[in-house]
Amino acid sequence: METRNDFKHLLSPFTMGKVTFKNRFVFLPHHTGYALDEGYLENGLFSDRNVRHYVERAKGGAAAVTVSQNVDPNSQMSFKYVLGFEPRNKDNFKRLADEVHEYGCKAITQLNQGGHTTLMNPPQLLVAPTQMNEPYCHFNTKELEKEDMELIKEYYVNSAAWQKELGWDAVELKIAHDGLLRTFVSPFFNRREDEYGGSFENRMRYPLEVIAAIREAVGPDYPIGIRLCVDEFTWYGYSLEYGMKIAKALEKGGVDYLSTDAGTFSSWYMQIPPSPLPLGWAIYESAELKKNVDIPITAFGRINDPVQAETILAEGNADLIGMCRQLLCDPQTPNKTMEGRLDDIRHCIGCNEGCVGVDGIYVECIQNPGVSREKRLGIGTLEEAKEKKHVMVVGAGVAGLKVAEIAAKRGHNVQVYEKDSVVGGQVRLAEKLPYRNELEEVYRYMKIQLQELGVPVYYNTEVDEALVMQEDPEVLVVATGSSPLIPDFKGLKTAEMAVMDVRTALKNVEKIGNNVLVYDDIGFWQGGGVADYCQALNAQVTVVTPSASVGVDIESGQAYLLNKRLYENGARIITNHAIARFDGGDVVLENVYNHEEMRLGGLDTVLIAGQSRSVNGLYKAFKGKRPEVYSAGDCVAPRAIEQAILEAEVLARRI
Amino acid sequence: MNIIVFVKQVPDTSEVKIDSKTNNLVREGVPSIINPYDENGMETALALRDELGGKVTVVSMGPMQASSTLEYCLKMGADEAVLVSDRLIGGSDTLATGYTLSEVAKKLGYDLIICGNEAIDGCTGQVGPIMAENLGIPQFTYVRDVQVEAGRLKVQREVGRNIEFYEAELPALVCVLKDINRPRKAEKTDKKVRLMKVADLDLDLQKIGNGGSPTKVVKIKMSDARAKSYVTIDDSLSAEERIRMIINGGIEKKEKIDLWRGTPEAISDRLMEYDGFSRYIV
Amino acid sequence: MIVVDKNKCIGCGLCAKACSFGAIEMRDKLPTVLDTCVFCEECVKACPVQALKNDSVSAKKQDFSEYAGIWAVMEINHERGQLQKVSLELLSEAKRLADILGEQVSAVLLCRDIPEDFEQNVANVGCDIVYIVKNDLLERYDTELYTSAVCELAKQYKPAGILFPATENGRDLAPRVSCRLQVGLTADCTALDIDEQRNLVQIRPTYGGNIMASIISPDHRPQLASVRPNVLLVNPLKTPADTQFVCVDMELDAESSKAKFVKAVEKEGVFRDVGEAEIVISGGYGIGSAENFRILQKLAVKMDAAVGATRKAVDEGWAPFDIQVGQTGKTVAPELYIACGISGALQHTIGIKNAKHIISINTDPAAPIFTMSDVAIMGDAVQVLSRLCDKVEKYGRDSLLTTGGAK
Repeated sequence: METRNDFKHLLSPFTMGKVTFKNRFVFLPHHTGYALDEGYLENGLFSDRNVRHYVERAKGGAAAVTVSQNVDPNSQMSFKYVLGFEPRNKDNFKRLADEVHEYGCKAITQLNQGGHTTLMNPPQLLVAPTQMNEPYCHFNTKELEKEDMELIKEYYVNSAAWQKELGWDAVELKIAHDGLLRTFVSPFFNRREDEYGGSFENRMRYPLEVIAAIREAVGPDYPIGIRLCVDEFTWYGYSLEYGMKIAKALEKGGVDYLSTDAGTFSSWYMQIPPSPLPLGWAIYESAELKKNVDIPITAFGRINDPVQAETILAEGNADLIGMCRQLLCDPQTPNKTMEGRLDDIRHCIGCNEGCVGVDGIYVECIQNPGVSREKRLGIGTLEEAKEKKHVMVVGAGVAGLKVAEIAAKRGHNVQVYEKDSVVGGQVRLAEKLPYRNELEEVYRYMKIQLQELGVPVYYNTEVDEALVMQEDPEVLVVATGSSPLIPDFKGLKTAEMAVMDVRTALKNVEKIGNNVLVYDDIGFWQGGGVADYCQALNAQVTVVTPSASVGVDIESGQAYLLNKRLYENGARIITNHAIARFDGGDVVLENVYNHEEMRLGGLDTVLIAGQSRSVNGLYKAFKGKRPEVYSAGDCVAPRAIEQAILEAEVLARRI
Repeated sequence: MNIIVFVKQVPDTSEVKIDSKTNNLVREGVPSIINPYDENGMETALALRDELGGKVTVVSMGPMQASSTLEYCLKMGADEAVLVSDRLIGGSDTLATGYTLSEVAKKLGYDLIICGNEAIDGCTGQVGPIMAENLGIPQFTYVRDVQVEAGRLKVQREVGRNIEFYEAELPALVCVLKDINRPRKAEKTDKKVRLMKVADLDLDLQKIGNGGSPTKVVKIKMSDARAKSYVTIDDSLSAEERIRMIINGGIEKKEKIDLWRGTPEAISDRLMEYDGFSRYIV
Repeated sequence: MIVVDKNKCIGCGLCAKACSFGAIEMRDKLPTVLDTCVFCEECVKACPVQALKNDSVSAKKQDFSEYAGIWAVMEINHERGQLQKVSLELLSEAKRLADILGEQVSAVLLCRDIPEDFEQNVANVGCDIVYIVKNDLLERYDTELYTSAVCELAKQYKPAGILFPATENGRDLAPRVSCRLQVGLTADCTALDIDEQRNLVQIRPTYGGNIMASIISPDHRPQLASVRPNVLLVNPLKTPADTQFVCVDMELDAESSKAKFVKAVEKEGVFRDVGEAEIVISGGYGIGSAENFRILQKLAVKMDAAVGATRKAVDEGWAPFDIQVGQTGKTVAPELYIACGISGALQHTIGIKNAKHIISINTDPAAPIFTMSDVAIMGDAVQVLSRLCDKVEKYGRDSLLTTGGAK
C-alpha cells in the first residue's frame, strides 16, 4: 500500500501562466546585506556573493528563488539592499537568471520601495503617503507629492521590465511588512485627502496603478505576484479581515498569485518570527486566503520540514511553500526530500541569531557556515581528503561534532570521545530554556550524520594524556569546551544565599530557590534565558544587568519577546547596574554611571551569567609534541554556536 | 476447504478532503483502496488454502468500480471473484448488506467465511456478525489468528488485555483484525470478476437496499473534531492577544502553570486523588 | 434511490451544493446521483421545485406505543468480578435519555454471579429496573447465549432503545441482536439524543471523522446503539435511587452455543493501536532507555491504554515506529494523553492537539508541553509511573464508583 511520504503534492510541478515551477519549494525574498556599497549613490550593487547565494538554493532543488530589490535609488532601506534598475547590476542579474535556470529553477524579482522604514541610522529621506513616523522608527517622513509617486511608479515599471528582459521569470511586489505600498493600503498610515486616500478604494488606487503599469510593461503572460501582509499585528494596524479585503481587490486587479506575509516594523518579531512562534503558525493565514481568493497562495511562517509542507498542500491550505530560513540552513532540503532522505535534513530552529541577529549587516546561519560563504563552503565545495588520517576528536559538543562530521565526510577515519553520556555539550543546557528546545536540532543533526557515517562516539570517556598516547592518532582535535567563572566579588565567601553560575543551576534545578537574582553580565541567553527558566519554576526573579537592557546581545525579536515574558511574569528588572559586592544576606548593586548603590535583600539564590574560561589542558599538553594538534569551539575562546561551527567546519577542511 | 472472503472497496479516508469554500467532501482524486482489514482477511484465507487445499472465493458488494479491488484479490491469488452490483441494493445499511451477502454465501456454498473486523469508512464492524446470524453459524470477532485442524476451527481473539482461545466446528465466520499478517504481493492473472445481480439471487426485495435499511441518515455536519493541522487565531482579539495566542499554540494560556513538584511518591499519590486521572482507571 | 423528475428540474444545482458527500454531479444541467449517496435526503430538501425524491419503499409505519424505556447492557470485568466502568457510563446516559422521554431506565445484567457492589453502583447512578439473568452458562461472554438472552428480554419487556458498550464483546453482541430482532443498530456513537418524534438520535463520525452523521431508526423498535468507553460521563445522583431487581427465569440451551472457550492469557509486550485507544501513555527522550519504556507498557496494560512515543524515542530505538505520535507519525485524539519525558516540540504536539486531557511529566519546568497540559508535573516520569503501576492496580480492585469516575 502506498506510504504517506511520497510527497506527491510537494514535489509536483505547479504552473502559473507560462511559468512552471518544478516543485513547490519557493525561496522567499529577504535582505541579504551582500550588496556592494561604494558609498552614497554608489551602492546596492548586486555582487558575486549575491549571485552565489541564490544559485546555491537553485542547486539545492528549489523551484524558484525570489530576489529582494529596491526600485528607487533615493529611498532605501539600506545601502546593502540590492538596487533594481541599476545598469551596473545588469551582468550579475543576467548571470543569476541563467545560472538558476540551469538547475530548473525560476528567478522571481521582488520589487520594493523603502517607504517609511529603514535599517540606516540616520536615513537620508523616508517617504510616506501621509507625513508620520513609523511608530517604532524615530524619523519622520516626507508626504509624497503626486510627482514623486509617478516617479516611483516609473522606477517599479523600469525594474520589472528590465528584469524580464534579462530573463527573469516573474515579478513580485511588496505590499508586505515593510515598504511603501503597504503604507498606502493601511488605514493608519494613509490619511491622504486626495484620490489616493480616504476610502478603501482610494487607498488601493496607487498600488493597483503600479500593478497595472507593470502589467502593461510585461504583458499578460508574465506572472505578477504580491507579497501581502495580511495582518499587521500592531495596536494600530489592520488584521486578517482587512487583509482578505486587500487580497480580493488585488485579485480583481489582475494579480497572479499572493505570497503570505505578516507583521510590520513595529511588530518586527512577527516579520521574521523567532522560535517562540510555533512552526507553521501562519498557515491559518494562507488557509484564509485560499477561502477568499482563487489565485495561488504561497504559505510562510516557520515551515521547516517537508512533511509539514506536504500536509499544508494536501489539505489545500496553500499552493506553494515559502521557505527562507530553512533553505538558508539546509539549501538541499528539496533535493533531500526528492531522495527520501528526510533524516538528513537540517532543520532551521528559528534562533534568528545568524540571519537576523546582525541587524541587516549580512545574513548568516549558525548551523550552516556556507551561508554568505557559498564560494568557499557551499554545496559541492567539500573536497575529499588527499590523505586519509586517523582523527581523534575530544569532546562531543557542537564544535567537536562538527569537526567529526566534516572530517568524516572527507574520508578521514574519525573517532569521537565524550566524557558525558550524551552529545551536545552546553547546548543541552541551552535547550532547557523556554522556547529554546529546538536547539537540540543542532546536535541531533550532527549525531545522525555521525551515525550514518559510521563514526564511533565513545561516551563516558574522559580523555587524558595516556589515552591519547595509546590511541596515537595522526590528528588530535581538542574541543573540550569551557567552564564558567564567577568573579571574585567582595563578600562572596560570606554571602548567605546560594551563589552559583548558571550552568550549575541548570544542572541542579533543586538548588534554585524561590527568590532568585540573575546577574546578566554577558548579555546573551545565559542571563535572560535562565531568568526565564527560573520563572517557569515559579520563582520570584530579579534580573540585574550592567547594560541598558536584558539580553542586549540577543537578536532583537527574540530579545523583545524574552523581555516581554520576564516583565509579564513579574520579574523585577534592574538595568545599568553591576554587582558591587555581597553583604551577608544582601547583594549590593552599583549604578554604572553614577555609582550610586542599591541594596537587594530577601534573596536565596544568585545566579551569575558571566564569562567562561577555556578548558584546554589537553591541547596545551600536546601542542608542538604531536604532528597535528588543533582546538575548536569554546576550547579556543568561549563564544556561541555560530562561531564554534564555522571554526570547526573550516578546521575540518584543513585537516 | 471452501473459503469465502468478503471485501470492501473504501475511499482512502486519510486522503479525504473538505473543500474549504463549500465545506463539502471532495471525492475527486481520493483514491479507492481495499479495506486494509479485508486485505489481511484475504491473506488469512490464502494461507489456509495453501496449507489445507481447497478454494478461495472473494466477494464484494458495491458499485461497478469495486471490481478493481476484486481484481486485486484475484491477483493476490483468489480462485474466483464475485461482484454483487445492482442499483436495487444501493443505500443498504448494515442489516440490508448483511442479509444480501449472506444470501450470496448461501448460493456459493462455504466451509469458512472470513471478513475484516471493520471497514475504515463506516467502522461499524456489524456486517460480519449479521451475516453469521442470517446463516445460523458461529461468529468470532477481533480475531488475530485462524487455524483449522482436523476440520475444527481454532481462533484467537484479542479482547481487552487478553488473548482468548476458542474452538468451533465448521462452518463458521471469522472477522480478522488489521496487520495480523503480511498480505502477499499481487501478481498477474487472467482470471476475471464475475458479476452478480439481484435477479441472480433469491432475495426478499423488502429486505434489501434503502427500503430494507432500518437506519436512516438524517443530518450531516462537518466534524469540528477533525484534527486540523493548524491553529486559527480569532481575528477579533487585539494584536497583542493574537500574538499571545499564536505563541501559545492557540490555547488560552493559564495564568501561571500550576506546576506539581515533589517526590515521585507524593506525585503518584496526588495523581491517584486527581479526578482527571483516576476517572480513567478501569 | 434518489430519483430526479426531469420535467420539474430547473438545473439550479442546489442539490449538488447541498450534498456533503459529493454524491451529486450536475451533467448537462441535470443532477446525476452517484453510488456514494447515503440517502440522507439533504438534496431532496434543498430542491426549490421538489424535483427530487427517495423512491425506496420503506417498511410501513407501525404502532410502537408498547415499546418504552431505555436499557443499558452491563459488561463485567471477569478478572475482578466487577462491573466495567463503561456499564455505568451507559446507564447514566440511558437514564438521561429516559428522563427526556419520561420513561424508565433499566439495566440488563447477564452473569453467573452478581458482581461486587453492583447494587450500590447501580443505585448511585439511578436505575428503575435491573433485569438479571443469572445462569452458570453466562459466566463468560458467549455470542449465542448472550444474544439469546438479550433478545428474549427485549421481546418480553419491549424497550424503546438499548445501549450496548462498544467493547470487543459488545460489538460482537449488538449486531447479532440487531439481526435477530431485525432492527437498526448504530455503532460507536459519540452522542445520543431524543428528537421531536421521540426517536433515539444516534450521532457518530464517518469518513475518517470528517463528517458527523445523525442517524435514526424511525420504523423499528427497539432502537440499538453502541457507545465506546470513556466517551460518556457518569452523573451520579445526589441521593441513591430505589431500584427494582427482577430476576428473569430463562431457559438457555448449552448446545445452542457452538463456540467452545478454551482459555484466556494476558497479552504481553504487545503495543495496542495508539490511534484507537482512549488512553495513551506516551514516552519521549526523557524516558532514557528501552528498559524504562517497559514501565510505560506495564502501566498501559493496567489501564487498558496504548503506548505512544515521540520521534526522538523511536530514533533511539526504544519504541517501534508504528507507535510514533506526531507530525511524521500518528495523530491521536484520546480522552487522556499522558506525556512522559516529552518536551513538547511542535512536531509532536501537533499529533496530540485534540486529546481531551493532557497530563505531562517532565524534569524540565520550561518544557513547552506544560503550556498545553491540564496537569504539569515536574518530576522523573519513570519514577512516578513505577509507583503508579501498583497504585492503579490496587485502586481498580478497591472501588469502581465511590472515589473516581464521577464528575
